[in-house]
Amino acid sequence: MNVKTERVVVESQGAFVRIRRPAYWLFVACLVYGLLELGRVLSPDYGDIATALWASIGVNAVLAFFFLDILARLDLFEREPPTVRAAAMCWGGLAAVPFAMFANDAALVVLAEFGDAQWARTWGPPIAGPLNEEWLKAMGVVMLVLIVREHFDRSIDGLIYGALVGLGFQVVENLTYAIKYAVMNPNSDLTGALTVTFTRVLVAGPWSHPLYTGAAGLGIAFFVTQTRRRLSTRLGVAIGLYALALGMHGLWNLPVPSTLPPALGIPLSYGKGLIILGLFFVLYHFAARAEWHWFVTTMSDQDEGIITTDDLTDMRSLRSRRKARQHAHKQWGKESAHLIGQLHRELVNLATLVARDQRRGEPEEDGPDVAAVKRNIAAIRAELAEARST
Amino acid sequence: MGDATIHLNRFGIERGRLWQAFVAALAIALPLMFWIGIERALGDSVEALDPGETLYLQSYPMSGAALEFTLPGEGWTSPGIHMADQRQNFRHGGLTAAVEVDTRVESLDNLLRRRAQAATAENAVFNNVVPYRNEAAALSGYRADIVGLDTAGSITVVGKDGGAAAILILIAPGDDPDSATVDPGPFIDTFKLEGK
Repeated sequence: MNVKTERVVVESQGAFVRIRRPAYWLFVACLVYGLLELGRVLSPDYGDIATALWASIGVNAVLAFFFLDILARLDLFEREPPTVRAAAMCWGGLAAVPFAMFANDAALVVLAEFGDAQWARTWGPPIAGPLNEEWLKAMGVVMLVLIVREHFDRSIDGLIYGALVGLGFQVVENLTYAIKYAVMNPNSDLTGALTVTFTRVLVAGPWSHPLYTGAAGLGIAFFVTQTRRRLSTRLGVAIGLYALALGMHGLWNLPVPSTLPPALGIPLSYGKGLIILGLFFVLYHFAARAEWHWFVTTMSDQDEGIITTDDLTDMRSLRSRRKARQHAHKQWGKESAHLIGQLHRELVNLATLVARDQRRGEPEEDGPDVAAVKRNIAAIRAELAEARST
Repeated sequence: MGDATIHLNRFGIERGRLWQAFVAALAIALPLMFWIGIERALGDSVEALDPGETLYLQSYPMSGAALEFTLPGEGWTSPGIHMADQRQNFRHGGLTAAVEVDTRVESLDNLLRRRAQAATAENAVFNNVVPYRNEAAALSGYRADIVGLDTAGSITVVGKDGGAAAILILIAPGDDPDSATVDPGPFIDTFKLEGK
């Protein structure tokens, strides 16, 4: 059973385009420049390697879809506007990658001048990679703050947008590697492109750029949203989380000691990856806990008919939501479990709108979008009551 | 719905926000300015090779093949920094030489065509693909001519189908493909190709 819900979108809500804001035009200029540079890098070889490139795009699209789904689930109490999410990914892929390519190439030459080429090849990735790439990706989150500050309500927003910037970066970086290895392979473009694509997706995929930039983004959002805290605390958290992002990236890029047997390379890589994943989930745990406190505070004025204490408890985490659905499934069947999921989504939508109105100091009367969500909730509750009574 | 008032300057841009964009632009450019600035300050380094200096290359990303060689005559230079393990470029006056080693090459003929396409991507073509044999190095493979509007050269691939291969690309401006300048023989004479 599925309750047909309605959605009222108030004009300009969630829009990314801010033509009156200078930072918006800087953002656009960086994307245009990045696109031209990527085109310059790709175009000479495109005719020869089109099949290999499109095959790699296909694999990376699956990776992006998978990550987008995970990030949507991690964003427990809000759905970020699609245009801003797309803008975050575009910055990561189309601006940060070309800028980082220039900076990294120059950094490797500089490191080789001071050491030697072999030293630069070994130590360049853990030094120059994090320094340049994390800075440029974090600037994507800063640009979003400058353009659409209203979409940064709480710290977790920075984590989500940062992870999206990182995801865009990872996908386009994978494509640049696919092109490079397609051209380099002595036998076939397709073999070269797919070998490196699958290696990067399977070995580095689960703990790569989205995690690093998610950590940096969390710090940036903490700085801009936690305005009641002392400046030194906010600055310390932002710098600390940026340093953590650098450390996670540096750890991943650390070379495997040449004295180790090659067979240990894969377990060692996965070991590093699991450490990075663990650090990320510790950060996420704290951010999600703060999210839940915000949700409880925001919804505290709502009637029992809209949200109950049990709903608040059930919605605390992904796990508690799943348990609530499983409980409903066991007690009243599959339809009831589905309705619980739908109810939770509508309550999240309501919290987002209520928080917006609270920020604006809106009058007591519900706006058309809030009223629509409340009607949805009432309809779902009615269906739930019916499902439970039969 | 709440309203927000924004104040515009004479260009129609929000007042008081231009400095943010300016600082952001500087911050975005910071890593590029830093590294490219140092790179430019250090200048392009060119390494002069000693006559008869032995050079080494090894295949990448898969190891398994290695090439040891020397360049004929004297006066060769190379970019001071070469990041690729498997390929190196050299210059002698107008003549440029690129040497590369690859592993697990399924077909030498296919490899020659793949590398020739890349080498002739701009204003040149390759033709006259013929079998090639170098008795001094005991290596065989294929050779092709490279012909451009004002350049000529040769591309030679030697090794074994299913194993290691070495590639030599010689390009000389204002020359023809039959000239001794782009003859791969003196180069490949010194090739010691190992691996599979």
